[in-house]
Amino acid sequence: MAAPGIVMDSNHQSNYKLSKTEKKLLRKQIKARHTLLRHEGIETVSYATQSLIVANGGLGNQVSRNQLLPVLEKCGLVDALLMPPNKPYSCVRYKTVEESKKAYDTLSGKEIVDDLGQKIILYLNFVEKAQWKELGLQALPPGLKVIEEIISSEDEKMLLESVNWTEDTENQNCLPDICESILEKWLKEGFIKHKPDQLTINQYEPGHGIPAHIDTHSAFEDEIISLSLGSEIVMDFKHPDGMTVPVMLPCRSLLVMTGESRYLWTHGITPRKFDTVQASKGHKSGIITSDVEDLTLNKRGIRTSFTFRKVRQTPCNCSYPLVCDSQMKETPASFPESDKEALQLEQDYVHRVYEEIARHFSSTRHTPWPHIVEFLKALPSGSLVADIGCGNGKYLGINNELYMIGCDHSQNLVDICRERQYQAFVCDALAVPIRSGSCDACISIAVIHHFATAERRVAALQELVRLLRPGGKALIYVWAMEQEYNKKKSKYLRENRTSQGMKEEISNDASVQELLVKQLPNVGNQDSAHSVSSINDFQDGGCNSKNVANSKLPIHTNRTSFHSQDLLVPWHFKGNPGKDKRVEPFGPLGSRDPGPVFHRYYHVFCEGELEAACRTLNNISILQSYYDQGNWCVILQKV
Amino acid sequence: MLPGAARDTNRPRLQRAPEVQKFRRFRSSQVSNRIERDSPGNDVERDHSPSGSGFAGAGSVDMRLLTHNLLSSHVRGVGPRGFPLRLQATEVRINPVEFNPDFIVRMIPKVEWAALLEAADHLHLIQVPKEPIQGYEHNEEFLRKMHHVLLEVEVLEGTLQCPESGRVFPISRGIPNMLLSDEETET
Repeated sequence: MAAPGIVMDSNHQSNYKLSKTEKKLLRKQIKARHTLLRHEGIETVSYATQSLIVANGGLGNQVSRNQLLPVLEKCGLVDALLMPPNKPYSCVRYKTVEESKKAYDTLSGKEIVDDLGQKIILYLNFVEKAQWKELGLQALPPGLKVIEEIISSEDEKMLLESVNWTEDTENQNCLPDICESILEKWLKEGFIKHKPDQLTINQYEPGHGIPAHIDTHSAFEDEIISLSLGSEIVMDFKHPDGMTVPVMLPCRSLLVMTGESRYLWTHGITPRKFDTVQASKGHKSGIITSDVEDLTLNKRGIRTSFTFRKVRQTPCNCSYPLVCDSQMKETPASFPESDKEALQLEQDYVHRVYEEIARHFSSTRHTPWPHIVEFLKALPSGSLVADIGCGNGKYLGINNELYMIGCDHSQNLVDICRERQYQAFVCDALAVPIRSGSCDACISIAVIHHFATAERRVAALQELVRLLRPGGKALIYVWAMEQEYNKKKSKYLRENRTSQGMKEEISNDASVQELLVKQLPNVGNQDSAHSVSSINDFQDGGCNSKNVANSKLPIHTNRTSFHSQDLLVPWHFKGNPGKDKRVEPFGPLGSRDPGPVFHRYYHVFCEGELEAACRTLNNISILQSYYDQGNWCVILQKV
Repeated sequence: MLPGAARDTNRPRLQRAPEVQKFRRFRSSQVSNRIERDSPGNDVERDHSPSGSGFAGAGSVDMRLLTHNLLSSHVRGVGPRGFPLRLQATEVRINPVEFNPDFIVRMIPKVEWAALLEAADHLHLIQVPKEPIQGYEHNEEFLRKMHHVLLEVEVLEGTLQCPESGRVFPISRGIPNMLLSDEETET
């Protein structure tokens, strides 16, 4: 191929005497073309088209959309910018060939600064439209395969009919014969490398989904495969960096997840009745790119998935320790001795956890508590209110007359607020980026108990007060150590008896959503059998926080009384997608699909502790101090 | 019609998902459309009314200028010199919100006007009143303009820069990320 610069630009007037820098640029450009072809299979062309590959301008080499797009836009209207994850290039399409040409001429060899502040030189080359579509396929998460039409329609029918959805919660000890023969076939044909020994069958009706998650590392081996029957669906894969890739899983296709796509990327299905798909591709597999002209809606049908996994016998030793429960377990959490340790503890046992469980957590947080609603509704019309630690935005829409903004440490939870049309941003509750004295009111619901030292808890309170204008009010809720107060057991405790009954009722139309709420720890719901005595213990205001330095943080057993003020509370992620349609898994595992367990750090407050902490601030007065369903609560006012 | 005329979000277009949003890029004089990747979840997630006055269009809501007016840099040591944050946007859209004059009247005294003007200028908004006019409580034209500027202009992609330290915070998919790194928060 002739050097592009010369072919393209007629103004060169066949003057082959290029300057030294021009020659160098040309060399680098050619090198980029070869690298793209050799390593990425991307063919560049030497005539102008609307689309360009921008080598060195990719997410894989720390160039973000924020930096690249303005640069590209200077040359013309950008129709689309595709930035495949972990790749050192991007693909840009301009509205017209002229604009694309302009970009090519002006941006080749251009120096920009990446996310880490390092200088990057961009090299641009033209590509054909068809290449653009292929690039989409290359953007599949590493280790992911979708094999289409892997079974016949007859087999599909047979498999669907073989599922017995009623009562039978007895676990079987081996996979059904029909599955055995199919698996053997796939092994032989090389579609899968290992023989699974566990099967879970789920059914998704339109509107059902499953929150984004990673299958527990310690429970299952690398290869996880899922057969889609009855209907196609779009599954979303998300990289920890935030990149989301929607993948179409056609009917009768097999999804194979290995390596990075199994261990690092989360996968989930958004609960909705329609998926956005590529019109041209119909029901073919592949990622759904942002090709504006090609998108259309696809109505969902009932999809049944057969997910086969191989049970793990030894701890996981993958290359992704931060999301690996086997490897994370090796360092037990201990009571922090310094601010730095506290920060790390909060990072590992609060922030990281909420990011992973965000959507699932949100689905169990839908009922606003009456006293909090009362507080918000009593505020004057037109008040500016900040919800510090807003979570999924549960309280941001309670009172239309207010202008409420929420903030949370978890990007995933803030995303949910945005979806619900609330104003929210990501920040740390110890450094809230809101100007001092601007808020008429603030709320902090179930937040401060996640800070690991008394100093940090007070600092969080200080921030709340700083935001308030004089006369402004703040409402604070924290989890109480005392779970039975005035001889009345909190909801958490009362749930214990009913939850047993709920378990047996799974197959009898019990809503899974309800089941989750009742079984999982809700803030303010705890169990205490020995409550009366524990109230007496703490009656004198001071709490005996017996935290010995370097002591391990105890792991709390849900629905029992708290024996320590600083502890880890398990969150059981149950990936139940549909109502009463969950068949017990087959296989040697015996009990139901374990699901990941996350530990969240809490410092539960004893009576008077929150009030005492507030009183250390000298510019407030306490208006109310009360107990509400397992929480200690304070309403204070800035003087 | 207000500048940057509102698009009708309620009527689905042929071949386009109603759940998918379209944008107008605010700087160029031509209109360009892009598809947003996220679609909102199912109807269950939309049962709460949005913050502020009235009902916003279907889909998500991004950072409004009223929110920007409250944000201030919390980089160590800058204090009040961290306000206002310098706003730059690469993607902006207009999202109509039902006009509630009482609400706007109550908001006006709480707005830091210089900061609002600066932000509006960076977004190339025209017709932004330079200051609250006399008797604004009864001036519908003024209130409507303020309603538009404060509540209907949303930033999807851009940056917020601390005027004192120069630290840049990204706005991505309508959400400002104001988290400081561990090194920046070290005492």
